[in-house]
This record gives sequence, structure tokens and C-alpha cells, in this order.
Amino acid sequence: MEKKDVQRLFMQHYAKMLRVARTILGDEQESKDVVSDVFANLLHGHTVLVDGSEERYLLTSVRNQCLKRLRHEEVKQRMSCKMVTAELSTDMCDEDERMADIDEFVATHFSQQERRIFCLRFSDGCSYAEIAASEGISTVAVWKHLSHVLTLIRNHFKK
Amino acid sequence: MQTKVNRQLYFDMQEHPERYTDEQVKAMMDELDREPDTEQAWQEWVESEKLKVKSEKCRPDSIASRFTLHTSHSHRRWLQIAAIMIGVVLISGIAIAAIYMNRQWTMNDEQRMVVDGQQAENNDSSASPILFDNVPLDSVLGVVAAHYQKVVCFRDEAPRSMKLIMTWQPDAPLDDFLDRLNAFDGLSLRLENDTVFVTNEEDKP
Repeated sequence: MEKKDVQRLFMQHYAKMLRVARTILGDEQESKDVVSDVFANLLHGHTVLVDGSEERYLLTSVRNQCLKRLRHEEVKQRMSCKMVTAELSTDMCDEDERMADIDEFVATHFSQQERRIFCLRFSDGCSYAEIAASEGISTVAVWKHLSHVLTLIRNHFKK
Repeated sequence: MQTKVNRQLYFDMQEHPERYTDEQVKAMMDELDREPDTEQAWQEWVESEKLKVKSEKCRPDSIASRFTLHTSHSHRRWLQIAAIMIGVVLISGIAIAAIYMNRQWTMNDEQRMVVDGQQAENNDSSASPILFDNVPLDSVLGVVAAHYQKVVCFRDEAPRSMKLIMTWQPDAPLDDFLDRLNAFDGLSLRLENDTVFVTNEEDKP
């Protein structure tokens, strides 16, 4: 992809992408790293984004990269505790498969409202205030719903 | 209230919301939704990409790969020439060994090759056992290997001049003959693909 195209996408979507990354990782620097990596892949790779699908692609990429990162950290931690011996290689192989499972996991494990909130946050990049307004509930209630969803997803994908 | 995004605190707030006040939760949400300076982030990203490209160029394996790209054609050409030369030398060696052996069989009294009389009478030379009488290993293997269409490679020079007295049955498998040769002290012969490798095995029991 041309640098000017990457710049346009960066200016349009960086804030939302960073928001998604922060929500999953809870770490400012790591979140910036993930978002930077997604744009670097666009610049150096051969991905062609169709108009209208750009935002969804970028936010989904950030979401998946963040979950992969958390999972790798978990595996590394377990390796350092000598509880796992040769798990990393197989982890890498079925990583993409796992990422494809997220939507199915969300669809089967959460209430309709939680699914909507998840979608508003991670597919549309909405803020807590925007989600609260959309759902007609308080921001703290949104926080609790998202916390429940994220805790279960993290635990599921750390396995 | 200003709360820095900190993973440990953030995860704890998610898993144990009852431990935190609504104000603390709202502060965390504000921090998570804080608008970044996108222009500055773009500049930083561009700079980091430039640094990545530079460091990539400076990596030893990157330099090595460029060198390999530039030199691969000439390197391959030299390998082809070397392979041709080795082939020519091997074929010449086999031919010289065959001529040398032929002359030895007919002219040299000390290094005689005696065809078993009984077999000679039957005039069945293909199955006749051949006696190598005080013949250098070099020459013995030249004949035997040519018969089995193998190539001989001496990895050590010492065994080359080793003189042997033994019989060879041309219709027996080559492995049998090599096994018998391997029984000699200090001698090791191994067949790999179509080559008989000969090494000097000093510490052979």
C-alpha cells in the first residue's frame, strides 16, 4: 500500500484503533505498538482494502493482534515457570483458527446486550459514552458489561 | 481524578469492580477513551518506520543476503566447473587404474594375478575367483570397483599402497568383498551410494 494511503487511514482510524487496543491490553505503550504494527503491515504487505470495509478490517486486526499478544505473554509466563515445555510451536499454528473463533465464542457465551456492547466497542470503535447513549444505560453499566465479556474472552483464549 | 492506564490495575478493576468506586471506574474509562494526538502519533510512526528500515539494512544477515545475491551466479558457475573437473579426474583415475592393472596381470611377476586353474579350464571367466597376490589396494579397488560400476575415494593416503593377498569372486556381492577387506587392521571401507570410501582406521580394534 502507498504511504499516502496509509497516512489517510492513520488519520481517520488511529484514535479508534488505539481505544480498542487499550481496552484489551490495558497498557498504553503496548497498545501503541500494536496499532503501529497494523499500519506497518499495511505499508509493507500486499493487503488491498475495499472502501467501506477499512474501519472494520483495521479494528478487527487490532483486536486479534492484542489477543494474540496476551496469549503469547501467557504462554511465555508459563514457560518461564517450567509448566509448559513445547507448546509455543503448536500455539502459533492454531492461532489464526483461535482468532476466528472469537465471534463464535461471543455469539454463544453472552447475552444479546453484551454482544451489542462488544460489537459497538470492538467493531465500531465507540467510546463508553457513545455505547451508554446507544444502549440507554450508564457508562458504569457499560464498563461492567464489557468487563464481564473481556474477562471471559481473556480466560478462554489464554487456555 | 486522573488514572493512568496500567494493566494490573485495569484488569483488577474488571475482575473485581466491587473494590472500586464509580469515580475510579469513570476515571479509567476516560483514560481508555482519551483522544490521542493523531498528528504527533503519525510523525512518531513515520520516524520509527525509518529507523526500522535503517536497522534492517544494517543487520548482518541482510548484508550477507545481498552479498549472496550478487555472488550467487559466479559461485554456482565455479561449483559447476569444480564438479566437471572432479568428474574428469575420477574417470581418468579409473581408466589409468584399469590399464595399470592389466599390465600388472600380464607382465609383473611379483604382483601376479592368478586365475584359478580349474575355472580357467571351464573357460568361464565371469565367475572365476581372482587372486590378488601382493597387489596394492589402490589397484585392487580399481578393478573391483570398475566391475561393480562404483567409484573409489581414498580419504587417507596410507591405505592406497597397502599390498594385499586375497581372492575375489566377481559374481559375489561387493559388500562381501568389502567386509573381508574391513577385517584388515587399520583399514575401513564404506559404500555410500556409488562410492567406496577408504579411510585409515588406526584405532580399529
